[in-house]
Amino acid sequence: MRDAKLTAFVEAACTTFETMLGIPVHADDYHSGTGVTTGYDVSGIVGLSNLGDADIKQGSFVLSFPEEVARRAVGRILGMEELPTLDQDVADGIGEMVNVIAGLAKRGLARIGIPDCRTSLPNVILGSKHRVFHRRDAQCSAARFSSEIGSFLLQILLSVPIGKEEPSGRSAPAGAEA
Amino acid sequence: MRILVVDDSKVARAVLKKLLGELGYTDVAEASDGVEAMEWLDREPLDLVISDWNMPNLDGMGLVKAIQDSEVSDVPVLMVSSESYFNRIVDVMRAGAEGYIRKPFTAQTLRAKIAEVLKKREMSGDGSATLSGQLSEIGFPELVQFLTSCRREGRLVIKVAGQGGTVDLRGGDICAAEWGDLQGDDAIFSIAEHDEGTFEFQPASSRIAGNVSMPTMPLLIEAMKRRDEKATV
Repeated sequence: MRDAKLTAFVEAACTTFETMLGIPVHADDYHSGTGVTTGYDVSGIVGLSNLGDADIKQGSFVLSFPEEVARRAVGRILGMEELPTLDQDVADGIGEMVNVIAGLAKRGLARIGIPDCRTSLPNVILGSKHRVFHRRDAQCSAARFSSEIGSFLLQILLSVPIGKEEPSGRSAPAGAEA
Repeated sequence: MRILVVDDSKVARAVLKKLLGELGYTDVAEASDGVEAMEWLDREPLDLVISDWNMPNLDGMGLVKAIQDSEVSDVPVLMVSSESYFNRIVDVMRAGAEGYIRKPFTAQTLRAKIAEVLKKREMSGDGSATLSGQLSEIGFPELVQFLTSCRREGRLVIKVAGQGGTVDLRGGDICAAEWGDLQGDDAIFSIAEHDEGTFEFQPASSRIAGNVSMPTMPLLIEAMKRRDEKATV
């Protein structure tokens, strides 16, 4: 069964792309497990807290793009075919996009019994084939999207806050490597 | 009409300018935070401020308060944010924002919200006048919020496609409501679902017996929640 939390973010991403970029996107490949390595070039990350059972779940929402897809996506937001270079404008646009998706997803989360999810301000990582690391115990749900501007990946990582893990749990801090 | 767009994101400002251009608003200035916005307001006449919420230096809420405390407190502010929580929306409306729009939004939504903000400004002139208009220009919750903020007293008559109802306000607070067979809170929840139809507010001193159980603001928040949930199911 598909994770309902992931569904909230997938629906929010579909609505956001349709409204901000004017293009439909389709989530057609779902994964779950302990992590998905992307190797993409641009990632927008939003921290999540107050998620789920007993108010202890936290995690992050990550949207990762190959460079050309990120340039096309932000270009479409601005009414152009694509931006010519991977620069601060692309980072700014991807940050805005993940912020909007996270805000919209909170409404979907409220409908499945998570009424008070908190989100951080977005961070954007630019770097050729970078990898985003999460805590080892993080449960990952991911959806790969296809669209006329290319493919991209949406991930939801959930974990128990440090200090509240099971006695046998091991963890490593989140980080990125370019 | 001169509009100031305030957002720390250059892309977000560009998007708003593009949408405003599609709506025919071409005289648009930009500021990257609340401090820069106040500098604009100090030196240039502006008709409307459209501001993001989360910004460095002075955020959207701070900007609304700064405008309220300044000599340009008559300039309306439309707040734009991805934030979904109703209590936050109510906070910024209480602080003095004239409207709130959630991201992502289309040019049509922006057009409706700008019309709503301008309608509110038009209505705020004479406290004793009868007010009337279309619910498509100003939504029911925003209309009641406006009447509440002005502490208006009287009867609001709502008509929607052959259906009708009334909302009575005493000292700016909702004291009674009727909508078809529904009364009180349920009547308010049902009226708030409609975004088409007409309204007319008739000022009068109200001696109607109350039939709502909740204070006005929580009642409106609950009505907005229910409307939102129904719209997204």
